Amino acid sequence: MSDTPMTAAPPATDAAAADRMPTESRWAGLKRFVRTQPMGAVSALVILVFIVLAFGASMIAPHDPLAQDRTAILQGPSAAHLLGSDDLGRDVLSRIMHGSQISLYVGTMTIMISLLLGATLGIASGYLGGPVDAVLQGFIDAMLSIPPLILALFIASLLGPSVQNVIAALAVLTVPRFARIARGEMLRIKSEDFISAAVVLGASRTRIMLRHGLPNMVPSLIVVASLGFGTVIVAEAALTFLGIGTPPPNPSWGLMLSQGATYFQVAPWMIVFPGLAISATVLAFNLLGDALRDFFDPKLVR
Amino acid sequence: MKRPLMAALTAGVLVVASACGGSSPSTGSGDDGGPPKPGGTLNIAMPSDGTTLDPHESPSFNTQERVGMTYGRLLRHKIGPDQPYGALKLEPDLATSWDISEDGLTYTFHLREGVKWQNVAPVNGREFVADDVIATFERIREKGFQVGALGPVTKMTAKDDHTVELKLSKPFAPLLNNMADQFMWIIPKEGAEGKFELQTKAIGTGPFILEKWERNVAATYKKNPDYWEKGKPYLDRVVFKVVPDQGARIAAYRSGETQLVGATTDEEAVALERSVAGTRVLNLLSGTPVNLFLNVDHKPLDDVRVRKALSMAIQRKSMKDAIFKGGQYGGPVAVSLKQWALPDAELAQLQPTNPTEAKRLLAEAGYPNGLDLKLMVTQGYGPLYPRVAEWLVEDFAKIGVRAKIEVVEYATYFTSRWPKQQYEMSVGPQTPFLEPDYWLRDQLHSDGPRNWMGVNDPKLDKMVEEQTQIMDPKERAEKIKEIQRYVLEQALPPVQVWNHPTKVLLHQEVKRFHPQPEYGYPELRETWLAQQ
Repeated sequence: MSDTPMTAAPPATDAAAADRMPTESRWAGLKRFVRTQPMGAVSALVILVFIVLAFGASMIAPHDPLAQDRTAILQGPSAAHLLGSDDLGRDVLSRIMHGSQISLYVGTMTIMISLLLGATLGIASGYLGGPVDAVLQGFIDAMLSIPPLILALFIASLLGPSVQNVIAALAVLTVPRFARIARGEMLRIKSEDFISAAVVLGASRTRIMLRHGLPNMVPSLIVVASLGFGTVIVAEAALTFLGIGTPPPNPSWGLMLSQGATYFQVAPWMIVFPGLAISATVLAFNLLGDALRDFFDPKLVR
Repeated sequence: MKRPLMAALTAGVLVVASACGGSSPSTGSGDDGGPPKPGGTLNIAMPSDGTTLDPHESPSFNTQERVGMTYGRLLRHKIGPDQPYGALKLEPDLATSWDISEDGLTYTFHLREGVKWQNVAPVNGREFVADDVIATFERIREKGFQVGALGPVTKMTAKDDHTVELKLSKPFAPLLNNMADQFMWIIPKEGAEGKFELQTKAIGTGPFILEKWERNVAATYKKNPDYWEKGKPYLDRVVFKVVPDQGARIAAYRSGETQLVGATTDEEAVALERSVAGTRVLNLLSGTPVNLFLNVDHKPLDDVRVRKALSMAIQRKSMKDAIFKGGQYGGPVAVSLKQWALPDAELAQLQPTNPTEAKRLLAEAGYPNGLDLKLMVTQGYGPLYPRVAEWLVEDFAKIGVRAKIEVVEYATYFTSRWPKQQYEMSVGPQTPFLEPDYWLRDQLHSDGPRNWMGVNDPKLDKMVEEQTQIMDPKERAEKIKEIQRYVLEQALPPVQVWNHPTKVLLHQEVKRFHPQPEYGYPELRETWLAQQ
């Protein structure tokens, strides 16, 4: 993200890049981030733990997340089951660990797809303007006018419950966000001198959009992606909670919440721990997003 | 068109089985607390509301529960502490006596004299007569989903104001039971003639008058002062409150806003029992077993060895201990119908658990490496069925059957996937029928309206038809047991997972609540409140 190609324009004209001091190494940048954004750094650490959990779940988790210990149904936290067992005697801790895989997978895939689609639409809309802009933005406006969860519910119930369909539904939901931001950024960048220079030098429209537009909006997109990640994890949990998300017996956090709700009075650990996992992860992504926004914002005095 | 409606009925199975279950004989008599005291209001929480009150339009428990107290039937089931849950003993309601001709082709019902319709316009307390019965049955034949209950009835005549004669083309053993069925309410002829709207109004001869129906909020009933059973009912008012959320239902019970609640899981029942001191728990048997429906048109589920293997894989005993905390082996006819069901020991013997043998059977059927099957389930019946589905996946894995759960949205489940047989395996309840004929002929006959599994067994068809012709109840019961043995030996679907218990919780001031496994809360005519 820091090695922004600035082939046709002096970096100094780019507000965001200018402030980042072209000579600063990645390591120095990271140190500056930790120094200026301690909350962001902690959040990043939490997310790192989350990623390690997701990749290493099968090695770290004390139990098979699907194994039913039918003699230990709805048992509270104990040495055998650190966070208790669920209504079929499965280990809650192991299920939370494996559940992070699903959350991470759904989050990453959704954000990637919607980033790709959203940025493309936004950049095209912002740079080309005119009727293209009007049509695309009209479409985005229409999508934004529908309450997001309702839209996701509609799509997911049309497609039926599966992880892929949840991703599809949530990607559709997240596209407008990226499209809006990308368009705004493109409009800003379009008026810069280095774009005029590129035009004069005879660069094609595609080249201008991809080589000059896109790199300069990366910081903004990262912030939106980070904030969006949290939203997507919650939405996945919500869809699954409502029974149209990830199907059982997959240990999705949303599914764990939905199953735990039935036993809230007798087995609160079934709902509390996955709930905490969701909250911690989403909070981390949101704080990281905020921190990144401040970090990239040249107007904030450091 | 009727199918979705019929299926809608099962929506409430779980809740109904709990909300209108019955007391076990042991807990029954001790809690009745002296002579009944009239007065008071009983509030009951219901999970959802019906779309109509027309008893011929929808078999949904939501509809039938809301009209049952308002209407009467020709016959009804005995209620009381001496009636074990599921006894379903017939007794006179609007018909005081009946004669059946030697050949079983003519039924004559002698109607109760001096019964008045509830004093609500446009019926205005008119006397109940034979024409009302004829009008009801004709409406059923014209548009009622319960038309099968009348079987081969060809001619219906009002001999005089208090005599109804039914002529049949052939004997039909279930007919008398069907006259007391939970769908056979007698409506006034003004209703059949369209002089008032049956969809939103209910005017009957029953113990309670429907005062107000606010859809999705509440249904309020007041005592019918002209009820033919003098001195009854005891309650001044009954209110069904619609509380969709289980948590809110529990909270309402805790605060005393409602005095009766059905628990969906054993764990919830435990929590509820702890929450209100003196709560009485009725341990009941569900009116429907947990079924594993198999689509026998889907290969290799047509192979008896594969079906047997699936049945043998199910760890029923440990499921009982871990999930249900009670209950019995299920049978093709619900075991809550004591008179018709196979004894528990025999059901156990006919449904062994043996994963090793199951594997051998699968290998013999050509699947030494197991097979892949989809298992459909919906959350529409509450959390129990998805939980059982997950349990079954683990049991099936042990014999090499890789089952993949498909969670289907409730409306899709009951309007298309299940009735149109678009599934491989499915876990769910069945409507808690009261007559074995429904369980066997409707569900398992190749022409049965509820045969949504593709069962087509000529030998079974013949046996199922035969039982409708046996007029002697003892002899018929033997035949029905024989059919059930055959069904279990052939592992014909639905495979019985377990007949689970359900629990109804009552505040201690609710006295004489002795339900039978039927819709409509007829037991409330006996119920009274100790504190008001």
